[in-house]
Amino acid sequence: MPFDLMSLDAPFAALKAYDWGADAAAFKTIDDAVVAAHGDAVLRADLEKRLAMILGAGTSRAAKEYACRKLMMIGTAASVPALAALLKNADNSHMARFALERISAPEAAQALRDALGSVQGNLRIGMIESLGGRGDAASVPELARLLSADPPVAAAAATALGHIHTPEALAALSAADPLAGSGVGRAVVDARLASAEALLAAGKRVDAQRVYQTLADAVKGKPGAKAVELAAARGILACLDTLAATS
Amino acid sequence: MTQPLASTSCFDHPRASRREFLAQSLAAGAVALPTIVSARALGLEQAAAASERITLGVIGVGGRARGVLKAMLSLPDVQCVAIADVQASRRDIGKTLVDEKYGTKDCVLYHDFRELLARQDIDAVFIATGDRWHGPASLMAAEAGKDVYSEKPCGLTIDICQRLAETFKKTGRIFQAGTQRRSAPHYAAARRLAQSGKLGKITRLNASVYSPILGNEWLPAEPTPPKEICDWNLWLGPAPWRPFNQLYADGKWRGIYDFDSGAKLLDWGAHTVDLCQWANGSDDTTPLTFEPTEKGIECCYANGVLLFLDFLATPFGDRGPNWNTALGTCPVKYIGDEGWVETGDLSRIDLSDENLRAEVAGAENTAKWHDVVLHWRNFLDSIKSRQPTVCNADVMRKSHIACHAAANAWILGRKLSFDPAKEVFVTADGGLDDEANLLKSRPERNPWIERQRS
Repeated sequence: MPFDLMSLDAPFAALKAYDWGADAAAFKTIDDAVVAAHGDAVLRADLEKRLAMILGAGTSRAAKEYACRKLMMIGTAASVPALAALLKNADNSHMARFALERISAPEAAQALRDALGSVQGNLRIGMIESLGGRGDAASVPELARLLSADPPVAAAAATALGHIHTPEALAALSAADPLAGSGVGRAVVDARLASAEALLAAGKRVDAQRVYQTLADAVKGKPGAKAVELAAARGILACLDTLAATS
Repeated sequence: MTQPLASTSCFDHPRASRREFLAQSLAAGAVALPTIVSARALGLEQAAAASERITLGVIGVGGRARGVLKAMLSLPDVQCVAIADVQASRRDIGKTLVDEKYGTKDCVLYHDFRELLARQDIDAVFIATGDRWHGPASLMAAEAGKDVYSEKPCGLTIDICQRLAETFKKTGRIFQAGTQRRSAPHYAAARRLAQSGKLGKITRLNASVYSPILGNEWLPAEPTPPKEICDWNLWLGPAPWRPFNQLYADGKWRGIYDFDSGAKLLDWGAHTVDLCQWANGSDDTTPLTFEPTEKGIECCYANGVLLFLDFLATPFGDRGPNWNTALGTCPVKYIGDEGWVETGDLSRIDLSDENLRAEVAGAENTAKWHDVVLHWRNFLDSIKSRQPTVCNADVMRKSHIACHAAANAWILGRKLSFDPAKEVFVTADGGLDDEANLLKSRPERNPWIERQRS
């Protein structure tokens, strides 16, 4: 039986006036509708439109967060503009980007990339995390540029690049200093190790070994780099083990 | 009275990174050996030899932790040296418990568990925070070179369970899931009987669970207390931010989606599904399908066995026709085509045929739900031997994933198909079920630890 769209009117009216601590029981109908929207394009589009409207002015942070959570499940390109408009808002930015991180439409990634240049501090770090979480190859040039930004941003960029398993991402990490201070070098090392592990897991043993070796060469004999040398050596051994096991 | 903290800034002791751990482990020869603490320095009587004693830190001191601590402190070869909790009141309770047991004032308190993890003299940690922190804290502990006993559910999502198993494999650390019923003799006896063939061919496994809920409750905002009293940001951890309310910190987070796992199905299911996986010989796999019904979730294994997650409306009272209430909490029932066996936390074993009684002789009335000593014994022995525990991260991975997959089917209100090898939800035509796969993970406020620095 098709979901009765009219039954959503009252819950959405309640959601518009909702704030933390108020009775949220009315939202059960919306929760059910989100579940029922699977395979029901009409309901899904109606819901998405209503939820996107909640993201506009005049609703509480709590109401907007609720809508973002639901759009995380059913959002499409249609709700990207409403979510993108929240990315610069300190209160709502993180929940909005959580939704955009999950919406597979390319418009969602574009919104995150667009916001990257217009927000600062924790919000910018959030955009970087979400782009890394999406494995967004198109953001690699900008993330590579941010490796020379202030340390928290640079460290986040390195981590994100470690999640984007493209040759370009690896090249950017390979050019970054694994011994940089303020936590950046540590993030670069972790990202390079993560990239190598991903290559090894994908059966690209030679490529993985090259990443480990490049890292080892970059830090060889440098003060305070013994741990990195050892980590790289362990990676090389893992590559050789894989070779032995397959030959 | 609030005890002084060991440090006022969590950033004085940044967490150990992947490379720092690797250096430690390599320097020690693949795995770090337990720290040696002298019995004289500890002032212990009847303590184990120093070389056999394991130093332990406790992360999270709620009611569950206190119960486990009382049992764990009775073991001679473990020494609790530190406690971390975001709430001052809980820290103090934990310290009193530990110091009174040892007759010292040596238990060191931290409000930020990352400081505890940074201590090189701690071998292992017991993680008993709220559910939202079990997985992330375990990951951080492993990367800091600690062995881990984590209360269940060990991860809020399929994704974090996968990450846990992979991280513990990579780091070589020991992991024990707090699914202590695997170490209870009566559950083990029931499993042996199921696998013996004396019940005929096993066709159905019943796992009791709470009726699922997906709480969206938001409590009214209250003024955020000083960090020293309750560090709210740290309490939330990877969960989405929301305003402080003391009731959350007191335990009213259960059933709320942001803080609980698997629509509450893992509350008991982490135990009962785990036991059924064990009975079915399925520690390395999961069911293939998960179909929600009004009364439970039907899950089918490749070997044709049906795992039924039975929703209990009143878990501690009438449980309907499927169960013998007198058997206690967390009952499981293994049904073959020639008989059945059922047991629960009161450690009585019911059988379809009393002629089978000899098969479970000696296993009844041996342990109750709160008995964790055997499970801790297994953990501590594994730390020393470096052999896997009975509920290691790989075992936890599959049984937790089975629970999470069942919960996701209930959340989405439809039958889901799962590829146990690739651990992805699939469609009937072999493609990926994108909607279901979305639920395999949740966005986290991670690496929020780094974010705090900016």
